[in-house]
Amino acid sequence: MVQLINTLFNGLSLSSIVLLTSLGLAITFGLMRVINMAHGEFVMIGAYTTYVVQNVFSGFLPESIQWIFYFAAIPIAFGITFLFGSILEKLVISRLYGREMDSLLATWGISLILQQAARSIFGTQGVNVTAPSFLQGGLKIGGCTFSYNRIFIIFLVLLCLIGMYFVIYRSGFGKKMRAVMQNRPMAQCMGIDSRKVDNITFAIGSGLAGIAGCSVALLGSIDSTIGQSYIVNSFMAVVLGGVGKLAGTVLGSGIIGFSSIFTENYTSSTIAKALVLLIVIIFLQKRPQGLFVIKSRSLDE
Amino acid sequence: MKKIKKQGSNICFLIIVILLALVPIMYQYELIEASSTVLFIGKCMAFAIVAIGLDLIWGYTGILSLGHGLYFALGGYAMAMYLKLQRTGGGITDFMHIGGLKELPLVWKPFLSLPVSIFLILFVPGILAGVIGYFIFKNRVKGVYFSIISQALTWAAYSIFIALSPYTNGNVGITDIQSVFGSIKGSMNFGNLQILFYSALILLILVYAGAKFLTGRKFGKLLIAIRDGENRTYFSGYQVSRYKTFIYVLSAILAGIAGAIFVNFNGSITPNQMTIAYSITMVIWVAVGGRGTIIGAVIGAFLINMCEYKLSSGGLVEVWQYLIGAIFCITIIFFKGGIIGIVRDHLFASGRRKKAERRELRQNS
Repeated sequence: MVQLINTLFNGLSLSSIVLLTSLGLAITFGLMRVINMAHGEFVMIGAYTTYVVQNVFSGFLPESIQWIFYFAAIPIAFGITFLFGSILEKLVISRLYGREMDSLLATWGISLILQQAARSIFGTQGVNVTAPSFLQGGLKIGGCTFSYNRIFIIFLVLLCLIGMYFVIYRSGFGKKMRAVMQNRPMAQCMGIDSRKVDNITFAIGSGLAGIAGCSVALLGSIDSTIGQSYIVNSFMAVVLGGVGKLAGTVLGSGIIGFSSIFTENYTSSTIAKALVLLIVIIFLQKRPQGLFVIKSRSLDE
Repeated sequence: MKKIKKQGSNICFLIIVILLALVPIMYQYELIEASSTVLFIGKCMAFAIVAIGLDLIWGYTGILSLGHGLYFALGGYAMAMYLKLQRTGGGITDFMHIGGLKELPLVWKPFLSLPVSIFLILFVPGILAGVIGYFIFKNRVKGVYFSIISQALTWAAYSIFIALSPYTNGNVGITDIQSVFGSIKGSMNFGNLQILFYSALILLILVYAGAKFLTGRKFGKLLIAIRDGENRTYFSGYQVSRYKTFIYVLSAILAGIAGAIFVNFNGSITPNQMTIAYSITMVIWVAVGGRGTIIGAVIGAFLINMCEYKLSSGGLVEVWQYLIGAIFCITIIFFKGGIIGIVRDHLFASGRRKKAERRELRQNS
């Protein structure tokens, strides 16, 4: 029983991490059809931002209220990656709409540059973020221990999801965004500045990667390749869930997270992750469109 | 002039071949000082072969594979396993010993003989690509979805490869091996190096000629048709998925051959060649050289690797990373045709424009 609860909790935790890194992709890939290979590097930027904020705050804050840095880091990371995303969209992506493969490759070039920049600034050695004091340790119920930082990440994901829901489905901007993504010429006729909408949409997706970076920073040391280790799972989660549906991404991440943890009971964790990916690929042969399909009669969807 | 334009790519390839053929001779007369340069140029020939394979599926057919490193590495490992067993005389290797294996595992047994090894170099990547391609293309997974799936597959294969370290030596890979023709290090083994170099060159010429042959006929036109309008090709009555699977398998086999050649020159193989990053590096060669032309792939592979070799040997590794990222980005955004595209559009554009004007005049009169 204890073991089952532990497994379930670990599954939930892994799913939430996968979901957090794929939420941004669900927007840039799912809604805009832009494959942003630099998404992993935005996660990295978010993680490094957390590290920098920690160092700045430790300079002038007393020991007892150091933990504040983390709450400052989240919006700052969002802001910085939002800005990066906006610039990237202006310079690169906006020239490549309608050329999906080319946007994939061009953003890979960007990701090479960003990785090297991280190595030049922070060195090749990994750096560490000390988790704020209230996130250290864990909650003990019966024989089970739930570590606080994992619980915190789960709540952070919920918060991001609710935020995304309101932005996309309940706000004026979200309405414009959906209009542009569904029928661009018609939206333009109605007087929506589609370029601006594209730019902000992409920037929001990148900003979410920044928040993911903050949470990833809690889990281990940060180096220039940190983004790459999350990106493959995130892409698969989005594809598995069905491109263009927020609910699909949630389900996709859940499936990948839970099944990885369950498989881990029988084999090592790297092999488990690899096996899960293979199973997902086989599943996609049955349903190439993913779990949630947006019905369309168009041939080239 | 007309002839040059028509045969331009072949003439270009001929020049490259002549230059390559001169490399061992130049080394003999000490015009090239370091033997490592010769080995490096040998590796470039392997890269050119895999680039041709990648160009066939990406430039011609429009299938962007982000996992060709996998096939490259499979070919490379098959070769390396044979060469390693030559070194140990058929006994178990040091890393198997550390991994706790008492005798040679079954997977390694076929690599005791050269003909079987060569067969496996072609067969393993081919059959894997065949299975993957058959299912993926039959289910009409295309475009970026294929790219993402190929990337995930490569990542999965890479993780499994590292996890099976008693069999593959994990992160370190198979090191300390000689080429098929014996040791190629040092001046007394120059003969071996020469044989190896020219065999690789002959393979490159054969692959180039084969690719030219395939793309020069109706089959090549069909590949381009699939790239530009897959559904229309379906409706014209072609089994698109079969053509796609065929070209994908062919390209994987070429990658396997390239991997085998690479190992001979490099003297080792690591799982690094299997990563997504390495696979996309291959795509960069093709993109910069010029996708959709065989000669573009060859030029790209040589040019990018030469630049990297020159720059990384100094203290300029950092600069190189920025540079390659920027070059790749700019090529993709502004110069879709790569170097070949620039040459074609700017050097020969005036002639074509004149011809177009003349045609217009004729139509008007």
